[in-house]
Amino acid sequence: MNQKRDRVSIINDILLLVRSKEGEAGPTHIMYKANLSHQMLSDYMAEMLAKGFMVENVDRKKKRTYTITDKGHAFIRDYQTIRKFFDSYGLS
Amino acid sequence: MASECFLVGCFLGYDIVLAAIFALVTLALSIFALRVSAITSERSVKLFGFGFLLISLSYFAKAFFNFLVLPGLGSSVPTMMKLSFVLSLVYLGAYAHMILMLAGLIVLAYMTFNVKDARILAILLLLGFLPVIISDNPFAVFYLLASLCTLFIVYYYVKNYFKKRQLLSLMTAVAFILLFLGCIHFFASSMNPLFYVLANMLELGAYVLIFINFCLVLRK
Repeated sequence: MNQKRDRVSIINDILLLVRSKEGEAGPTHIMYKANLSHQMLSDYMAEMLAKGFMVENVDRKKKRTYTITDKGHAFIRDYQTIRKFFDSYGLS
Repeated sequence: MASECFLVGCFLGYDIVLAAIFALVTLALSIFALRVSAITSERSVKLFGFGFLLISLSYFAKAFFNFLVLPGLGSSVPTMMKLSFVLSLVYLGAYAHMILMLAGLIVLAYMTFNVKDARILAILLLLGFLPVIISDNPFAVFYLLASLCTLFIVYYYVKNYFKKRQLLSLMTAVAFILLFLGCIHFFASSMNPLFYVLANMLELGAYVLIFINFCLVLRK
């Protein structure tokens, strides 16, 4: 990937990653696969949780995982439209 | 706009229809942009949405006030009282159109600068509004300022096209070039009323392109 990714692309990449892991993934997996720093991952996850794209699950061993929601699936579905809109109007 | 209304009387009905069409196209685009901004939290999309919303309101104002004065202009022997009322409406509509359109264009131009400082936007708005409000010839000043703002936006979209090299970005760049040429023709319309008709045609071309572009974006 030569071009710098914008925020929307990163959100889409994270959602695609989680979806490819049957809708649930841990933070370390997301961080490495999405090529993000710990701080960036925290910021993006906070935003995605706030927007309802994912939900956080904590098990008895306090292990955290993230599950994609219907809103997250809808974002992936609409991403191509959003991308076209951004590109044609020079947004992001 | 007042002189244009009298000079291009035969075109007045058509320009109301055109203004209403432009208002609807820009409103659709702004609503979509604001919905996308709610999903993505992108600041540039929010500014784009608000910019087009202001432009849409400016066209609604133009269409609405011109529609109100149309019967008054059509009567063969207008009384002084009626004429003064019609002129008040014309000026009210003209100022509403100019201020809203300038605000929209300034917000769009500000978006292209990619800076995050509300004070810059505030000073740009003030520097845009003041000359129009205090000038003896507000229409000329308005079209001059609108041309300058559109020129900055054109530069951004031409640059965007060379970066993306896509049909959609080309259409956007051409649309804003047409809007810029439209502004120049509106500016020249005080010399020859024909330029007013040409300016409307250029704007129509621009908004047809924007509408087709928008439909292509929405197409799955």
